[in-house]
Amino acid sequence: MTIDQFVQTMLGGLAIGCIYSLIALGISMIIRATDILHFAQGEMLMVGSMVGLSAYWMRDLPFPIVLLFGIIGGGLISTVVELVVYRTLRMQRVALINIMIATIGVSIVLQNVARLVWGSEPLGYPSLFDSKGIVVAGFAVSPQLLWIVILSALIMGTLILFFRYTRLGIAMQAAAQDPDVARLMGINVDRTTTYTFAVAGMMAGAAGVLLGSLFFASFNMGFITGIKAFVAATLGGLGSVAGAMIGGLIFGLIETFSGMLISTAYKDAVGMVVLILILLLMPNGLLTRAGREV
Amino acid sequence: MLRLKNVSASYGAVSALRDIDIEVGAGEVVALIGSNGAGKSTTLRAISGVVRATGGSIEFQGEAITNLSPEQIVARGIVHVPEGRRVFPKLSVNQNLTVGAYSPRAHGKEEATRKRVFELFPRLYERRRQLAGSLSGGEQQMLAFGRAMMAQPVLLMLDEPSLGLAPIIVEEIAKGIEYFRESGVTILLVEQNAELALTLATRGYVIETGSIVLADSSDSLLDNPQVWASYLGQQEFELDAASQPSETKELATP
Repeated sequence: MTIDQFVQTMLGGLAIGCIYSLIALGISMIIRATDILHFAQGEMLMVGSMVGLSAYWMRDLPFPIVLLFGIIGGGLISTVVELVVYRTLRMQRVALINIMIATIGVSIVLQNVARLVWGSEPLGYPSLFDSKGIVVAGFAVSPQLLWIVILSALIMGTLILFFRYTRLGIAMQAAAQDPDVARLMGINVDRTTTYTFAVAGMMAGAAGVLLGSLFFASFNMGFITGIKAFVAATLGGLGSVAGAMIGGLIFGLIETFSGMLISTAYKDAVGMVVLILILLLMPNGLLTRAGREV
Repeated sequence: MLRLKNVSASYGAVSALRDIDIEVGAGEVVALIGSNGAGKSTTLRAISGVVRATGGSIEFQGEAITNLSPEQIVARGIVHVPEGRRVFPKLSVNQNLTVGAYSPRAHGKEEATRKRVFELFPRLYERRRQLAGSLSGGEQQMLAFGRAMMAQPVLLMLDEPSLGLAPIIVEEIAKGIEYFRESGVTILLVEQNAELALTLATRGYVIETGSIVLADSSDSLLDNPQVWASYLGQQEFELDAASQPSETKELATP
């Protein structure tokens, strides 16, 4: 492997890792706020990707606007599902494990609806970036991969600032840590939970547009990607936001490098083997969360 | 200012409060004492709306608040500091204070109050960027007080502020309560440490198995042999028991 190949693979791994990070972040946020493993998170990515592509079809929009449509699409569908399905189930005091089964149901329903609306054929994304390589520090790199890394970093940075400095972001964390006391502070915990789903959906929607622009959009694109994001979140320590970001990046790099060094046919298997090895050595993932108890 | 009339509450089939009557006037400090499981915390939770009252009515500043949500009740200025401090462990000290000022009524005074919290408890200022979970028990209690200050309470309800804290920290608690009393905040104080509660309060209620059994001024309650036997004498006994090992130690040293 030449240095040049190494740099290319590294960038490719980082780009795909950023996409996993974006989805894994949402998964972690939802676990912290509701203790639910959200199996339909990959479908939020798919809907975001489809909405972004449809917006592009209607008008020849520039990439940032397509991305914005993807974010809005993912956020909207996540909010609607939370309000109509999960909140209703929580109000009926349905056991958490059953709500998790319902998230699998939501995932399948969304895939089928998407197949009705957008068809079952993979839809090619337009080339939204200059495909000609640019030279950075002596290496020819793909501007598309570079943009994916930059945009993902921007989105995650915004999320960190939101959680650290805004009143709503801090309140959402408080509600996830101790919902009873959060209510005593005047926080409407049902509402912050819905906001959590909205933000998680927006992250996944952004990931959908980025992933689509790398490959293509299809009704079942969210399934395997969602599972990989789960692996990434577990790798980093389920429920840890920083862990989800790091887990996504590591998983993306492992996958890309094993595809390069071993065989693309086995890259999924290699990623899973690494997950099992890491869990054997660190049973709680790389960054653990202390949980709700004080 | 606060009036509970025949308030009952239950957890499922278990009744926790039976026909409770409590009245707290503006600017008063009132103590609610009783043993473990008597219904002290449930009374506070019924007032703050976390537990629904199954009967009776709760009135605050002349308006019924019986069926309001906790958010609506906080918005009226009733602030409940729960037992065991319960700061948000994975938020910094500063962020915990921000959460305290979440209710819209507290937004305007947020920064000014934050400054006063840090003046009152300089320790919190030193640790403002630390995670609250890494603070000591006493510091967490200061933070719980500070968080309550941020909410701009009209009526402050404190649940067992002295629980599990060293006597020296209990002085900090008295300091916090003094701050609120001076700013004209009405206080309803729940304590197992009846002597401390009655020293801080002007009036007290004694609750037993979900019913109010006595209501009087603090001085009369402190002199009441019945109260002494049930809630104060016991503490005396514990003090004696605790002092015994040190006596034996003294005997052991020649």
